[in-house]
Amino acid sequence: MITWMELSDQYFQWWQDAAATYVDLFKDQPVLLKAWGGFLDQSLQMKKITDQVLDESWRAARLASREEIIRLHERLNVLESHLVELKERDWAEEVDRRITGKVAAPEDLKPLRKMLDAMEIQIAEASAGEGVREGVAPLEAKLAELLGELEEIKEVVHRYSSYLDAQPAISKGATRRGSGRGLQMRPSKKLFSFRRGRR
Amino acid sequence: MWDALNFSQESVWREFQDNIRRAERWWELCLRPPRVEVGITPKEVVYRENKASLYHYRGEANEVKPIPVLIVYALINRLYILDLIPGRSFVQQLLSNGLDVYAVDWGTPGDEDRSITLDYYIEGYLDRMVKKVMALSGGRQISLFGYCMGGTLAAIYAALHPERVRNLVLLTTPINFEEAGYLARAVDKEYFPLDRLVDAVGNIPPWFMQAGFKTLNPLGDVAKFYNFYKNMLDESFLENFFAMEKWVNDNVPFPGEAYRKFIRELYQENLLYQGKFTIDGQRVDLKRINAAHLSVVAGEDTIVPPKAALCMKELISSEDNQAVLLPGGHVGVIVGGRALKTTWPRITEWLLERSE
Repeated sequence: MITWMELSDQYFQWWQDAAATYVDLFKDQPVLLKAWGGFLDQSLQMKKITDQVLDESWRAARLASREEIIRLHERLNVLESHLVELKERDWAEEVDRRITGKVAAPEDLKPLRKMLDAMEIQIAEASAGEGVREGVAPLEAKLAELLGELEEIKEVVHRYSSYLDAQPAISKGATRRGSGRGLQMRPSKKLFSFRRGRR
Repeated sequence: MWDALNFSQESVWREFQDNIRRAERWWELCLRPPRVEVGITPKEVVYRENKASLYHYRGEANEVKPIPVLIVYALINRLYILDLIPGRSFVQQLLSNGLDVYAVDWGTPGDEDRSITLDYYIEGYLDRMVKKVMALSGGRQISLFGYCMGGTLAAIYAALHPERVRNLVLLTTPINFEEAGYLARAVDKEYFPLDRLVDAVGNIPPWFMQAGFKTLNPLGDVAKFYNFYKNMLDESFLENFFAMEKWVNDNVPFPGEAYRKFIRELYQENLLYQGKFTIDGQRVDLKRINAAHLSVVAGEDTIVPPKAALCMKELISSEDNQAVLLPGGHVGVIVGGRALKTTWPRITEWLLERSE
């Protein structure tokens, strides 16, 4: 004999199957999807206008707008990624291999130096630029931390440069077979796409 | 006749008593909601970049296989579904069988992460994490395990760097997005204002993503709470229920630019399946994958219907190439009651055989 709960289960299953058929029919209707898309589109337009108005008000009050703070954070992210890449990259290993061994080429440091310079400019812009006005103290702390790391990396580069300068014989006669990967940074890689123009 | 009447009377009386106990339990749960601890397998962060972290899980097995397993999770929801609670932890299962397990946790993107592209997630974060795993394990190859969208990322990575991947396990991974069911129809070019959405909100908020998944099965919540009502007096059910609820409601935003590319080029244009998808300017040709491959597909999956995932087997050039259809839904296939007896042993044995 069937218990009360088993009966209830059977009834629930029947209701669920029947309702699911209609719900599936309903939710797949192109008219509904189109109406939903239209509603979403209008809401997003409204949001964009509201955001612009709010940003203008913050600017008028000489405060950093949300958009500016986000941009600043984005730049910090990019910097942090570059720093991580510098730290984690096999270039350190490559440097060791070259120091102990056969191939050395001071010009390999050029892209790295160039990148460090670019990062310094970015940091300078970030700390004095459009975004930082008031209330962004945590970002400044983060910047200081990143600058500290940057200094450490520069120190390593400097030491390596000095070493190479003292070893002209190695660098002059060296062949650079297989050195395509070593110190070449990849700043041009399309890692982050800013869509400033669209706003 | 009298027996039937008697039985029915008894059944109603029993149900009445159970309902009183349920009401009492409900009240207790409201007053003292249970604290659910998830993702408790010991682990350490071995690499971190911005919000993304690479975990190395610590197992207790005496001997560890030389080929490490790197779990790649999706950019939505949280990684701890694979390490839910003791007894329901897939990570624990791998560890106890002597596998060396690493996992990618993408973290919680903030507004400042809206410009990170899908290309960078794969060729930046994931690439460095793979290298880190290789450096730590001392090997030249790894096993990649991808779940859902994480599987798509893993498959793309394996196609771009086939020499680094020994084994590729894809769990409910969409590859042919034309067969992705309702989700594909809901984001159809004709209706869905993709660019306007990303430009206006930046990262896609979790509530928006969750609403999309709820629409897939609008009656799912009714069934869930009906089950809850029925099993409210079962403590082990409750523990699992609350852990799942925590995970289901613990969503993360989807980084805007990555979302734009994922929806446009995969869902709307199905470029990966057609072999026209590019990452950092390189074409992703799935034919380049020569790693041993296992696709696990869930028969009752509505998020990634079987047809969207099973095709992987046909698109790659691996000799050791399998796709299996197992019972369960998108999540149930890896954490459901049946998963412990079907999916877990299947994947673990497959990996063990190929991790020497």
